[in-house]
Amino acid sequence: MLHIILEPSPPATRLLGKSDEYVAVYTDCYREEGKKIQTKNALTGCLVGMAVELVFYTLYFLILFED
Amino acid sequence: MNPILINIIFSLIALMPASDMRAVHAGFFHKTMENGTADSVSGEIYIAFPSRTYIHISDPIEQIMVLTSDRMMIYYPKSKKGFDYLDGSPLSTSWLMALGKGTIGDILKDYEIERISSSNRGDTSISVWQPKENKKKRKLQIRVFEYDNLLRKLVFTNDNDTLATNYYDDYVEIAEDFYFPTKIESINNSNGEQYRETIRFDNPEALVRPPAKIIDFHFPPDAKVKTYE
Repeated sequence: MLHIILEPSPPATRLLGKSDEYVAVYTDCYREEGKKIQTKNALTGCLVGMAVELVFYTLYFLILFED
Repeated sequence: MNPILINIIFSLIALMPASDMRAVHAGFFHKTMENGTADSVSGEIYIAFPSRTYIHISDPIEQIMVLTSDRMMIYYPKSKKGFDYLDGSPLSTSWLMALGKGTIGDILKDYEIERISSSNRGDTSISVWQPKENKKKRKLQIRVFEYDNLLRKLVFTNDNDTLATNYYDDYVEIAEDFYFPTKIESINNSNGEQYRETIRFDNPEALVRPPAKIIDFHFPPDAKVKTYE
């Protein structure tokens, strides 16, 4: 179960007794899905960061021009 | 994402004399239930504590699976095909937690999971653990229920959602002060779907010296191995 928290590899229990073809396809799909989630998280982080920066500089310049 | 795994235990195993290593051999039956579909495999298993597992599946297909604290290897003797995962071995974690006295905390600490609280409810002691690095991002927690110094239940939660619950039952004393659960049940909830596992161990026996193949497994030289890292 710790794989949910810690692991990038597919859980071994899902591969027990499966054929080599199944293991190959399952692993590729699992890792591909993991990459998508990581990419999505990175993109979200990037967009949030940009938004925060935009708000910061907008406020900064507003205060600057008011003075 | 890098797996939070350490090599210290792995190194310690290599340094330890084989006679000091606790190991178990047992018959192995693993049943799963997902979306109403049942599946099962059987074979034999060697577990060398704290972090080495060797499973030889004989039904429905011959398959060898070797798990260490930082690696998972799968090998098919007939086709001579292999898979080498250099980034972790999830199975070893939940199974190796069922060791009996005084080991659950050690294993969680090895995964950089720290205890944040502990309490008693009647005869049951309950401790709550969470990963160090995920402390601020997510509220992943593990609740450990122990009774009579034996692990009985693990509950994995994310905020208030239960991700999984593992039950460890039917302990037998296979050597002096060495208890082993012959039944492990795991109920996993993911995206509204439930995945159940039941693992049964038949005739578990303590081994003083584990077979060499589980300590030092290598793919045969002529095996076609796909590596993941």
